[in-house]
Amino acid sequence: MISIERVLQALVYLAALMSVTPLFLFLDPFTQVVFCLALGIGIICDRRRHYWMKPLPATLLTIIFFFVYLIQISKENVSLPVVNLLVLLLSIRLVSEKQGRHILQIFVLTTFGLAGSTLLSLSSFFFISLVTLVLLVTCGLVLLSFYGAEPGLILSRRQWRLLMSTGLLLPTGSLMLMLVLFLILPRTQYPLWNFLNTPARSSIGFSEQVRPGSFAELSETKQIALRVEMEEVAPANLYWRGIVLNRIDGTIWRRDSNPPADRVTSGKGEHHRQEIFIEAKMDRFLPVLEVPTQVQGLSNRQNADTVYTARRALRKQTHYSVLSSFGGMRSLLNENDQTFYLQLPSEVSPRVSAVVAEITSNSTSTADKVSAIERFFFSQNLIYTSTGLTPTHTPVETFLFESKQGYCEYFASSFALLLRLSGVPARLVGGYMGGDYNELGGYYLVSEDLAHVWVEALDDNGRWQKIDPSRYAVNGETALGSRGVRGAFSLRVFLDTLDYYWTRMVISYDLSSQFQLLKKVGSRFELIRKIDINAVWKTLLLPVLLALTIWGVAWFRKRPKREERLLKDFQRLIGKKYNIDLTSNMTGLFDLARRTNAPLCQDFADHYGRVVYHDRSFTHEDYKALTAILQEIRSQRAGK
Amino acid sequence: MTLLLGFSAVNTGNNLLYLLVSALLGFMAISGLLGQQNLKNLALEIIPPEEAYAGHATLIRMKLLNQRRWLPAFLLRLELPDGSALYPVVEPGGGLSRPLPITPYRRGYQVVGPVWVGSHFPINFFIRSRRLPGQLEFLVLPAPQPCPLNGSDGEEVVGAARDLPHLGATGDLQSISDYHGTEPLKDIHWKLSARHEELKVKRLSSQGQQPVVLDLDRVPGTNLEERLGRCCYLINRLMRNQQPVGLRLRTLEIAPALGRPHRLRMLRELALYDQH
Repeated sequence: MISIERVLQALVYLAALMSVTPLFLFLDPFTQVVFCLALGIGIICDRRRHYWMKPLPATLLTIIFFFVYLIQISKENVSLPVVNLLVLLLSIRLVSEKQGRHILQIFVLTTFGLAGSTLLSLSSFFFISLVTLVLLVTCGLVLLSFYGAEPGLILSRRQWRLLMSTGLLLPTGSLMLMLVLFLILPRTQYPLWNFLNTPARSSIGFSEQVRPGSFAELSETKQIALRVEMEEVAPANLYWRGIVLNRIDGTIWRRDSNPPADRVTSGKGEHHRQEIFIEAKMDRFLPVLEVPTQVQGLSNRQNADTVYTARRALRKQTHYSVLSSFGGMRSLLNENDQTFYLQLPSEVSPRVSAVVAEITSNSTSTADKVSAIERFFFSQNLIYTSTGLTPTHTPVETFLFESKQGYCEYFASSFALLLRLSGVPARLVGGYMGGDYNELGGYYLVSEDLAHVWVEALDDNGRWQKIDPSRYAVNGETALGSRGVRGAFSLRVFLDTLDYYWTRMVISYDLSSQFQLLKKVGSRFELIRKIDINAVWKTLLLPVLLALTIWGVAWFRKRPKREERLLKDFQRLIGKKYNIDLTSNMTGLFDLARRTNAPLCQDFADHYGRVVYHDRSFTHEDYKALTAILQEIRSQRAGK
Repeated sequence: MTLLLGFSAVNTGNNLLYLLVSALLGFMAISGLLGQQNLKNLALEIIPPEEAYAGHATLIRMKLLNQRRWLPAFLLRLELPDGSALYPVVEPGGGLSRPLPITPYRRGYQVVGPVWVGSHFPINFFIRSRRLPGQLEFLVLPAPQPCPLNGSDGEEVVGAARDLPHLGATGDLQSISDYHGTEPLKDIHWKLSARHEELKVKRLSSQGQQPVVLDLDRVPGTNLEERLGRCCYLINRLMRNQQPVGLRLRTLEIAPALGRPHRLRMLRELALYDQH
């Protein structure tokens, strides 16, 4: 024998815990402490059936908390005061007396608490919380209905088993329907209350400047930049082109927003479609795998130098798809624009200029000049490192001749400067290089520490050639070689796969995804249209006929008997004619007839009673007689 | 709550809120379905009280049968005007019986049902109800009305049958009669039989109560219902004292006797007296 009340109390505390867990870290320390205390004190109070928090103080505290957090709300700070208030209200309810309506309030607060957590975090942990909370709250509500009917009710083990087996249908069915409803609930293209949503989780993105020598150390973070669903390709192809820096000011490379136009031609090589899921970030540059021929799924703009930018800020995780041609080429549309990419800073180190002049003195073609600079890089025994660097105002000179250490920005900016000094048009490209291939999910995981800068140089045919000078470091292969490898299966890979699918299927599901789904369903219908209906009809005819026959027999056997139909007709007629409410009383046939005070009704009741209530068989004559009486009653009504 | 969250979901475009709203909508749909199924395929078996008197509360047993094969029925409540009963769990294919108070307001055959069954399972937000088919007709006896046994009226009533023979086997010797072959041998008066050269048997008086025949027309009362009530009272009272009671109505006379079937027969005649 287990008491309903005990189980209900346990569910209340579990639901409260499950609701607050996803938002616990976002709460004020005061709220965190209050909630933990409330949880403990509430359990003790329930066990002792003595509540320290009386109704009046509870109401006063609620009002105080409400006003304290109300004044903290602003357009920039809505979510945090609201969730703090919700948790404090929940805490008050936990430590005060719990009648049926109080328990219902707790369940409502827990649901709102979980809803509040969606404004703070989009983590996949939400799904676990949601499933658990649906389970706890629905079971709790079922028990609450028992508790409301009889608070002291105690059920046997067998009754519990029956209750649980049926009660669990509720959360299970709700969760299954949830998956369907989630896909079809209406969505808007531009939400009105976007300011309430989780702020951009990532704030890194591309730097719109390259400033070698500014930092002693490059901070490397494993924060996810993007995930790309595609087949595995050779690591050498994994250059995710994001931004082009085309102008050099002193030692700083910047982007001129009106560069000369490029032309892209898709080659005959491999074509790869990428489904890119990019995390929220500050800039609007869209990384694509070289050479992109098509970017879809997101409103975007193709710049003259084939850099793609989103038309709207990337405030949340976003999806777009790209078609790239590995054999594609990018060339300068107008040869006269080469000068744009030959601009030099106002001050160039004489030492650097001298070296360029020296190493390219015998080179006539662009290819020769590039080779000469490559050889120079190799000869300098440069080391790729991102730590232990000394900030300097002459980064190129220091890097090439003194420290000989640096990261991609040093290599790329030095190489591009040398190219321009030798008369080869060049520019810097920022993006990512490499990515861990997740076989489980079939996607590349590109983290922020894979951010990279390389060089594009214009060859004699007017085509841009990709050059990665970081590879000319003594340790180039070691430093960059590990990028673009298949990640060994580990818990991290598994969790990331889960997170990926969470993002792919839930977070980034929007209006366009709904239209795509609709299109898919439509195409399925197209398939259905192509099916030979005659063949299907012939195959299904017999089973359909059989099913219809079984259904017909079952219906015939279950239909009400003649006498039952007559009684129903009588009751309906009496109800209408004499205005007797048949739904709220338990009036029997004889009483009903008596209340009408009509001889015909009495005749019907007598006849019916004689036959049905005295175990006489109901004959056709009885049926005819009773039908005739009913007809007479009906005609009387018509006559009135 | 669902509306509020749904409104928030649409306006924020937050898919996690959409998930929550979808779960709430799913919950509403499934709870509605479960609530509807909970009241399906139920039947009622009404077990009438053995003796029910008009105007007096009694208990009527109502057995709720769950005719479903798999799904149990929960939190069913049967309502009668005088009270209700809760059926927490009724197993599939099983039944649960509960007594319900009922106060019939007049004598004669009364009908119980159809009865309404309601339930707020699975969620205590709405109560669904439906009418269970089936009626039961049961006999309601006249409301007993106390009547003095020894007053002038009582004397008249009880005395109406005092001259009836009331022989027994253990009392005083009342008379001697001829032996007919059916009397027990111990009743043969051997001395007298020897004198008269034929067998004589002793007729002994009964040690029990004096039998009475109640004549409805002679039972005091201002109207028929009052006389029926007093008659009913007297039958029960006298027979509780092991006094044989008979009943005389205008068209029927029942000889005095003892025993429950006899008493119920008389009460039944009173209940149906002068009814169509």
